[in-house]
Order: sequence, then C-alpha cells, then structure tokens
Amino acid sequence: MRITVDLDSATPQYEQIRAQVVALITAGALGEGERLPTVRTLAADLGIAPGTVARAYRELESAGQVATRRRVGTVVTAPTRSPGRTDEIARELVDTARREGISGPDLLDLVRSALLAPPNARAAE
Amino acid sequence: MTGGTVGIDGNSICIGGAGAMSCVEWTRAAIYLGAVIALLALVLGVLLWDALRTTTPSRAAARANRHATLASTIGVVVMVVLLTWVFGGVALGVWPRDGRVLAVLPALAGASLLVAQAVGQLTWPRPSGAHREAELVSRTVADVTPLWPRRMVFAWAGTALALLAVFALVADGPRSLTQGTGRFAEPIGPYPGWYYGLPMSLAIVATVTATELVLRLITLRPAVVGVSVDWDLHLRRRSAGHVTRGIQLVLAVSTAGILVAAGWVHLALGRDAYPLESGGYGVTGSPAQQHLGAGLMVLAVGVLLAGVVMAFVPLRRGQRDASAPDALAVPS
Repeated sequence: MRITVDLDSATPQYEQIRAQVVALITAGALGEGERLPTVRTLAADLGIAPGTVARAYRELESAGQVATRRRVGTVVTAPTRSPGRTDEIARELVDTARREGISGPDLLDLVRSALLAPPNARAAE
Repeated sequence: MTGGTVGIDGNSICIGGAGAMSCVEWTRAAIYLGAVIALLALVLGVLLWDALRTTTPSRAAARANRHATLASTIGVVVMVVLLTWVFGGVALGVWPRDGRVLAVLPALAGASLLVAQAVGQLTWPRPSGAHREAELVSRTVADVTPLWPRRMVFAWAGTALALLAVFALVADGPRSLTQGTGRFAEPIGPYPGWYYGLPMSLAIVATVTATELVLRLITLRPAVVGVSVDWDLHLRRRSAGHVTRGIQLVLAVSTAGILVAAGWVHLALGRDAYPLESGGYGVTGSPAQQHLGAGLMVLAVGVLLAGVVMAFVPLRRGQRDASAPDALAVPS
C-alpha cells in the first residue's frame, strides 16, 4: 500500500494523507486492527514534517477511522465495509471516466456536484 | 598521545614521549602489524562481499547500498584497529599507562562503530522532488534488527555487569586481592574491583544505550525510493546486523577481559612462592584458587570465541527473513 503526497498540490499535505488512508480503508486494503506506520516513520519516508502526518492521524482519529493506543501505535478501527452495489457502480464510473478521458480531479468535481444536487432531483432524472 | 614520537633503536621500534618510551622488537611489531592488516582485509572482504551480493534495482538503490556500506566499513575498520590494540598492547607490552583506559578501550572501539553508523543514518539521502511516495507499512526496531546478535548484546552486557559487581565485592582493595596475612600480606592485581569496574560499568551501559539509539536511527531513516519494502528492509537489517554483531563482539571482549584479569589474580593467589632452606624457592598455595583462576581463564576463552563466532558466522536463512531479496523495483 503506497501513498503519495504532491507538495505542489493546492490540497494540504495532511488532507492528501488522510484522504488516501480513508480510501484504503474503504477499499478494504487496510483492515480493522492493522497498524499504520508511526508518525515519525511516515514523515521520514515522505520527507515532510512530522506535524503534518500527526495532523492527518488526528483527523483520522477524530473521524473514528483509526485509534492511537499506547505501545501498539496507530491502528485502523473502522470496520471494512462489505462491497455492495455502490462499489460496483463506483468502479464502473471510474472506468467510464477513464475511457472518456476525464481526469481524477475532474471526476471528483463531478461526484461532488452530483452530491450537491437534491436527492429528488437525481431521482427525477 | 600528544608529543608522541616513533623512533628506531637497533632491533627495536620505540613509541612514546619523553619519559614514557615503549620499545618493541621489529619482528614482533611486524607480526602484530601483519596480523592487523590480515584481520582488516578479512573484515573488509566480508563487508564488501555482503554489499556486492545485494542486487540494486535502481540508481537510488545503488547509492543507498554504497552509503550503508561506507558507514559500516569506516565504523568496523576503526573498531577493529582499536580492538587489535587491546590484544596487541597486551602481547607487545605497549598499552595505555592508565589501566582504566585499557579497560574501556573495547567500549571506545564500539563507540567508533556506533558513531560511524549514526552519521551514516543521519546523512541518509532525504526524499526530494514535489512528488513523494511512501509505503503504508509500520516498522519497529525489532523488525530491522537480527534477533540473536541483539540478544547477545544484552547477554554480554548483563554478564559483564554481574561479574564486575561480584569481583568488586570480592576484592580486598579497589583493584587487588590480598595474598598472605599480617606483615606478609601482599596486594595482587590488577583485579577488576571498583577501580576498573566503575568506568567499565558506565562504558557498558553507555554502549548498550547508544546501540539502541543507533538501531532506532536505522529504523527511522527515510526509505529508499523506487525499491520494494523487502529490499529496503534488507538494507536496514544489514546495517543493524553490522551494529549488533560488532557491539556484541566488543562486549564479549570486555567480558573476556574481566575474566582474564580476575583469573590471573586467582591463579597468582594459588601459587605462593616461599624460600627453601636448601636455597631456591618452593611453591605452595590454595588449589581452590588455582582451579578458580584456571576456570575463569577457560571461560574467558569461551566467551571470546562465542563473540567471534557470533560476529562472523552468518545466520540461517530462517533467522534473517528478507535477506538479499530479489531486485524488485517498484514503479514510481
């Protein structure tokens, strides 16, 4: 499981880390009880400030995705969601976007705009 | 060693300053230097062979391999030179005038290895560029350190501290045992009492603490970019292996030195010379002291051999997972 950080991105570095860890948990790549690297280890490997990784972990902890335990470190606490129809459609959506040449950020913008639309409006379509 | 000179006097080579000149025969000095060079060649050969058999899948990996090898090589060479001075000094009679310096010389040898490794880890190439990557895998000191050499570090340190405590309690003076009683009482030394025990204990505790700190540095250094987790772990385990194997050897030498010093004095206690009426000297003494002294000497040889074996003999494949993994380049 590899995570990346783009230092030139407008998205804060801690948010990039947080989002990728959440994505890995959602995808089931990180299971409940699995240990994350320590703040210092991940910061050293990424070459960024330990405070940045610590903030990402704090955000994950406050969202209930991970928990920091003495002697054990930071472990995943969110249960892995069993894949359903939505996962299947999400994968199909990504495949379709790739075929149509839509970039990742543009696809995320599309999903966000879809989320902003009222539920009944989507149902009427 | 300030103001020290090296001079040639007939068949001898003399080292030292004014008033403290030590002379050694050419032949003995040549044998000693030859032995040091042969030992250095052996150690360097093992280190370079270990580095060359590591497959490097990328330029970054090759650079990391060179960096780790350089740190180990510098540290091990200085360590070997200082350790051979311990043995050479005893064999040639050229040793520091203060016995406490000789007593902590193995720890100084260990310190040179630790400093070289610490500098190597602290100057490890940092990730660069705007695009950074990292494996989301946790690693601890236990993950990167070979189990048995690390255990031996604690075992030798514990044994040495226990021996120093016992000998300090047994000693009749700061650094001696007393032979005879009354006006015939005569101190026999150097015995590893508190005079030597205190600096040695401090040096041993400092060595073990520094070893753990260096192992932590090895664990925390940035991962090599563009290689698999196994490859990076292999490089860490190699560095940690050099540290723990070297330090356990240093502590084994210290332990053996304590045993030799104590054994020598107990042997002397067991052999008390007295003048005979017919002229000459007879030998008497306690057989128990002789047996104790001989036992300590044998134990010292055993400890030294065990330390050397642990320093050089490779671990079985099962004991060193992720050793020399295939060259797995991870696409970035």
